[in-house]
Amino acid sequence: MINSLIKNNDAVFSAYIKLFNNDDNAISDIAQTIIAAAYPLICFIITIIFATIMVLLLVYLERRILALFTLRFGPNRVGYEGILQTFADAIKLLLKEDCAPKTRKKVFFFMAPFIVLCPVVTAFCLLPFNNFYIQSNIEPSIILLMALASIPVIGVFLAGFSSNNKYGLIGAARSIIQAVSFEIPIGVSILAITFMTGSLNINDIIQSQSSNLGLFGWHFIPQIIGCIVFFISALALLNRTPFDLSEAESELVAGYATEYSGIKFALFFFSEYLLLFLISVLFVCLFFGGYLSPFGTYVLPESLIFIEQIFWLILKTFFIIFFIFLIRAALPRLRYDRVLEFSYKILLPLSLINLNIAVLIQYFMGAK
Amino acid sequence: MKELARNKMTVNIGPQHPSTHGVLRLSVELDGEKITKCTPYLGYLHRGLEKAAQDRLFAQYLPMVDRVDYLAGFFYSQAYLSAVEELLEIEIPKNAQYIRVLTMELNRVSSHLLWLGCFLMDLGNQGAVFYAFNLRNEILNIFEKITGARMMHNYYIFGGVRDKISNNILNDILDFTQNFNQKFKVLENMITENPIFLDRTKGLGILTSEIALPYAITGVNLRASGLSLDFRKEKPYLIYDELDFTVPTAFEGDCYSRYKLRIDEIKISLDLVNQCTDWLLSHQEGKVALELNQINIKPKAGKAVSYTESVRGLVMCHLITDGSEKPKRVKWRTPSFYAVQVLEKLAIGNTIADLMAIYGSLDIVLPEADR
Amino acid sequence: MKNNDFNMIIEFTKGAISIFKSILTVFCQAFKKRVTLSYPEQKPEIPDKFRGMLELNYEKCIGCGLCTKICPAMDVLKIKEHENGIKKLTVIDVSRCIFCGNCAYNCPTGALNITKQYELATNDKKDLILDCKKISEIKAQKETETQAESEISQENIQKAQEMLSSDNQNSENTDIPAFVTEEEI
Repeated sequence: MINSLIKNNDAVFSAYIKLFNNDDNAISDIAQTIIAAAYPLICFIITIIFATIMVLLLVYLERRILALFTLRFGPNRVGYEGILQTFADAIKLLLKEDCAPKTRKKVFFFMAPFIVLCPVVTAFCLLPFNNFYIQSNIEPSIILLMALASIPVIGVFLAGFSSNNKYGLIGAARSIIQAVSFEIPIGVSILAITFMTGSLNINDIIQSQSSNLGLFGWHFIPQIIGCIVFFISALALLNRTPFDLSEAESELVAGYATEYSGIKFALFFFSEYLLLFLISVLFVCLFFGGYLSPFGTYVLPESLIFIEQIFWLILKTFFIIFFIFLIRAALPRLRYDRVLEFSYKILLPLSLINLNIAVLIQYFMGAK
Repeated sequence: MKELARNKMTVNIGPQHPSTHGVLRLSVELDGEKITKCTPYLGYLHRGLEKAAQDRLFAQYLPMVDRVDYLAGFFYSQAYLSAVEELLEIEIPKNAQYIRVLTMELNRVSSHLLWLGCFLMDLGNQGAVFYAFNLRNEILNIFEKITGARMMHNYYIFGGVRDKISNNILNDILDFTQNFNQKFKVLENMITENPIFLDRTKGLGILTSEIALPYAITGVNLRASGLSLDFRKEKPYLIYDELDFTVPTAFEGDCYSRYKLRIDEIKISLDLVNQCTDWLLSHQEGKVALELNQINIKPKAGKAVSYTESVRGLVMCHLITDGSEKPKRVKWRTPSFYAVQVLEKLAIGNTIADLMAIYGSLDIVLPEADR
Repeated sequence: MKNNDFNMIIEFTKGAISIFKSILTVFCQAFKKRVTLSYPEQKPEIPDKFRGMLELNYEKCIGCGLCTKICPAMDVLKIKEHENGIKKLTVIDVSRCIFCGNCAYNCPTGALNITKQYELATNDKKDLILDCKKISEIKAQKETETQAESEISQENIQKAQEMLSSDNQNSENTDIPAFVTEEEI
């Protein structure tokens, strides 16, 4: 049964299968054991390094891009053009005194940043960077991705609850209600895409958008409503403007992370930026063709296609991230009760309409 | 079954604000999410400016007057000088009057731009502050060329102004006013029809004239409630009766109409600036000050009250002198002091997020309220 | 009911268009010139009337005390009486100064002047309490030094002249004009 869940371009398990099915190869037992142990460790280290670099880059990019829209420069002194700025901020946070209230619930207080961070880092191995080498490609990969992106909500609640602080509790409650309400439109949009594709696997969804029409064969054209609904719900899930009332500074509540200081505080925002990257990649894979080239065919020769695929995925993701930062510079904040009204009265009906459109398209275009 | 008692939570919106409103403490009683009682506490920025006047000569106190409200320094200088000049029984030359009106109206524009940037930042728009401050920076550069300092100008003296404005600077001012509308369009495009902004401000914090008048609210806050009271037209001072301008009024009294009125006031002030600049360009020969010894100012014993329509409302300077070289008592009637108090009526029934929007729209500046 | 729904759709589209317009407006700001100056490599232009630090011309000061009388911050300027009864402005406390300019505008001899110096940050507050007598002595010393230097350099130029003119007499090349006097012309 496990074999049916794992696809053939999954990196870790396919290596194992090749390794252990090698009868006529003269690899000794010890070597086999060592390779068997080292392989996932190496993948784990690669994921952690990639996630760390991505967060440092995203925090720096956010400050530079926001400055670009507000006629300033942003940090450009530390390192070449300011690239080491986030590194300096992280060192500062590491060296701060980790003070916490005496009346906190110790176990939950300590666990909360990790519950917020770990699932998001784990979800990085599910991302399809190219067609040949995905770290972990299982059959229902979209469901696992969305589940992993929803676990941080529990961490947020634990953070607010264990702080023993009324502002933290109010902030945590607001964040949770917002996150849970916007999961529904996102789920329905993803459901519509799976209807059009017939598979729950992200890689299959990307492959189903490949045609010689290139750009026009991607899912954002027939599913334009779903695209917009997904994007707005993603902004709300990430607690970004215009839905960032729980982090707003002019409110009296300083959010769920009121009582955290030093490295634990840094971990909350680490996970926020990781989730931003994650959901942007998911958005690109579902609606904008993932790693596919917009011209339909690839420019580089056969053996180097995987580099080009990685390049296209990263490029499209950064376009979406750029647009998210632009929205932060341009729009004011929605009031909290309007946020929930917006989700239930506008986004949910729109996503259901979108689902109907997807089903109709499949009916008339025939199943793929 | 016994009804579960709901406890009201008292929350302190502390003296330290992340936004640039100054140090105000609001003690707010919450029932769930709604506010039932709101008490403002002043005094965190009290600098004793009225007491400081009693130990200083008239000319020694003059630079401190700029600092009562540092965003509207020219208006307070005008208020103080108007009271002293009334007791000295002098009248300042025409050129000086035009220069004073020109600088005061430019100051009104710069203060409204700062208000606009900070109001929008309170509502969550983080890009608008920079555009508003960029425009304000150009005005401050003009002030630096005219007076030597960007904010605390010390430019008005007893008998007029310190020196005349050269033709170059007047042409710079004309360039600024002509290019202003195009640059301001960026802010207007972003905000005026934005549904998020409209939803946050329309129908919120309605200040009717029945509430406003007993609290002695003046300025834009009162004009947005329907009463057209502007002391530049009621008790014209300097040369306001020779200039041609209208006073905009709105009738709803909510945050949005206060916002709209201030935008209109910016445009009207720039028109006044144009009129003054044109007059000054053609009358450059006149004197800008009477030949008075600044240090030996000894007005006759008596009382004088001056009325000035400042950025946020009516500023009155009560001056009591006893014939010596130091004033006996200077009392400032500042508009923000009264606007803070009306907050206790306007906050009831709203949530904290709305309270920040209402507080921002009243344009309260704490140094003015605390003196 | 239908009218209400229709209105709602129209409001919705109008709202969406204006949100799109604000996003587009902000995007266009990315192409405008930056407003920040990269200080300290780029410094702002200072106009002529700018009020920076005070500076005293020690000889012109007559010790009348008008500056002290009119200073709002009260303990900034101090007049001291020196030997043989001469009163002069001796102490300027820059840390208490509010840069209003009252003193300089009212100085009868024009001894107290406003410079354009605004970079006044120091590590030690005592650096900001200026002793005008010492400053004028240091200035006088520097002037005598530069005068001596210019005298020395004048001597050097003269010596060089003599050497060159003697060379000129010895050499046959008369194309080098070097120091041609007017009579020769």
